[in-house]
Amino acid sequence: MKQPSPAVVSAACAAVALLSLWSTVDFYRATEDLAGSNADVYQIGAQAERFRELAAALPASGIIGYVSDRGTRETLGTVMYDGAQYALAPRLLTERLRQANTPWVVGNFSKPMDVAGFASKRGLTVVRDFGSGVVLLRKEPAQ
Amino acid sequence: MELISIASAVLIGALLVWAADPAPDLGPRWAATVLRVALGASAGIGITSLVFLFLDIAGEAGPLTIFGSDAVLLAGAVLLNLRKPAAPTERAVPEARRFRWTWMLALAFGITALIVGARLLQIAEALPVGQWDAWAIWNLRAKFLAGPGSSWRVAVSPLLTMTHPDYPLLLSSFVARAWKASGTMGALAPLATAAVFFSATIAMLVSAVALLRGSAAAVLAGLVALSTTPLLVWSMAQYADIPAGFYCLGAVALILVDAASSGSRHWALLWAGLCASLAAWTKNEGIVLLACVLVVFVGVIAWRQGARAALRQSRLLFAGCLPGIVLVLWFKFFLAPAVDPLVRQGASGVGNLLHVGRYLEVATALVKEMVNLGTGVGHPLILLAILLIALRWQVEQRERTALLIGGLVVGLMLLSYCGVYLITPNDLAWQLQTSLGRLLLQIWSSALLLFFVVLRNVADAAPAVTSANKAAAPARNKGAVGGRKKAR
Repeated sequence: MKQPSPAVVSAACAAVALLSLWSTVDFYRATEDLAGSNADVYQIGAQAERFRELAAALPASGIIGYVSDRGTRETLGTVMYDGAQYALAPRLLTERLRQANTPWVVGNFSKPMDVAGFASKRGLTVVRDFGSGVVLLRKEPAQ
Repeated sequence: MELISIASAVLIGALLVWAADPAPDLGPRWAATVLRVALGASAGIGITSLVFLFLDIAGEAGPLTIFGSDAVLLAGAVLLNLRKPAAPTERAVPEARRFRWTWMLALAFGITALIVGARLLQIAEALPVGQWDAWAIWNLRAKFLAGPGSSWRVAVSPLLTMTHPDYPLLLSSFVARAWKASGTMGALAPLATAAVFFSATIAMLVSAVALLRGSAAAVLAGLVALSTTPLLVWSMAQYADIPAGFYCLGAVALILVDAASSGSRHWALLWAGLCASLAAWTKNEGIVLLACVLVVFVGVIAWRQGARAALRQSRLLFAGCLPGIVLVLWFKFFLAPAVDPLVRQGASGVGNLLHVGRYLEVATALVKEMVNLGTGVGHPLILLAILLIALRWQVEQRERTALLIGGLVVGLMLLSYCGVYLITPNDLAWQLQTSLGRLLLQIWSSALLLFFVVLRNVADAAPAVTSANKAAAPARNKGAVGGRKKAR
């Protein structure tokens, strides 16, 4: 195969170098949102503060119950669950309340609502409402 | 303390790599040093994450035991270096690789790296928790591993219905180690780990190409890598795909380095095997890599040189792969439940193979993700096309076997991804949209390495066959994988 001339090699290298620099400028432009103040679109970083007081009331580890007005089959419900789970780990949150090994249940609500009524339908009692949709609940002793 | 524990892991790995140098006779010297540091950083992360996991399971993980075990590993690595025979002082750099504009390419690479680095710092600052899988899977499981008492069990609990408890634990375990050592669960540890793996990926690619094809080609490879937008975007997402991609690159690069080296000890193959092992301990796709590396290496050598040569040459590679095989068997059969729908669906997924539409959907998504690798005129595929048209290709005889092995490994990885998409029980469109781009990144840097090794030398003049080159040829052919010519 015919070998390329030094001029062709130099021109190709120069083109690649210049186009790479151009690509970097493109990358800079394309990631403005990702580097901006609204990068955390799911507000995961804010969940640690939202659950801070509740976390202090829970045991440091163990399996804790979890209830919400939004099911984890929908994206918002999944984000709410994952956000709470990340903020409260190493405790494990489970929607299967019978599998929890503590009487405590975390309530995570997307809007103001009748939490006491929501809880009683599930055999739970409200222990403390921390505001912002964060509620500590307790399983009622089995009859 | 988080940074000290990470630095300690990197130092342990670097010292171990120095003790068993994968490229003792290849130059330029800067490239050999960069390769050792990149490999050492990632190997150190893998080894110390494993030690931490064992300490955690034994109920002994704490700052004292973490730094104590580090001290033992450091002492062992130093001892190995003290007992190491003197390395050759000369590192061969063929004349044919001289290129007068290398400094200008290096300048462009430096500017690009600075701009990218600055932006990645901004992204890390704006999104310290990382993207979805970081807080839903990798760092969440790190919190369980770093928790008190037997919290580690939660990381593999079947109750983690949305967190894939059957995913391997290298990344989570390493972040947990830093958290446990520092007593905090801040964003610094996962961010620093992500930065180390991204830097190591670029460093491994550039240094391996430099050792195999010279500095100019190496800098061009680095420029193309830094033009790959998703690689940059995902680098600080704190996902396991970039680490898995590093280990894939490491395995392929070290098989090539071994073929180019004339050393009598094939430490590069040991490290290649260890990279495959650590890939299997990072992501499920890494298990496929581990199998591919072993089977393809043994198969190709057996085909070209006979079964006896294959067994002889694969000993060190197998030694490196062994920890991964043992770990995967232990993890999958004794520790983590098989909860992935892909595994639990049994034979029902095979029926999906009969749907022609799925093949078309996967192929379309593949093309779309290739297009998404970059933007505009600086798209990496455009850059590669320019280089291929201008320089063309030249495969050296001594590297053919290693190139075949590398190409087959990368090709089989890609085929395995496609196969999984074809049989997945999940919604195919959703699965392709949320994962294919990241999976391609796992093999992208390896594909770049193979491209630049196949590409003709970036040099001022065409390489002439001199008497010196002829004399050097037999020595080169002593390499394990490159021994084909000699065997004939």
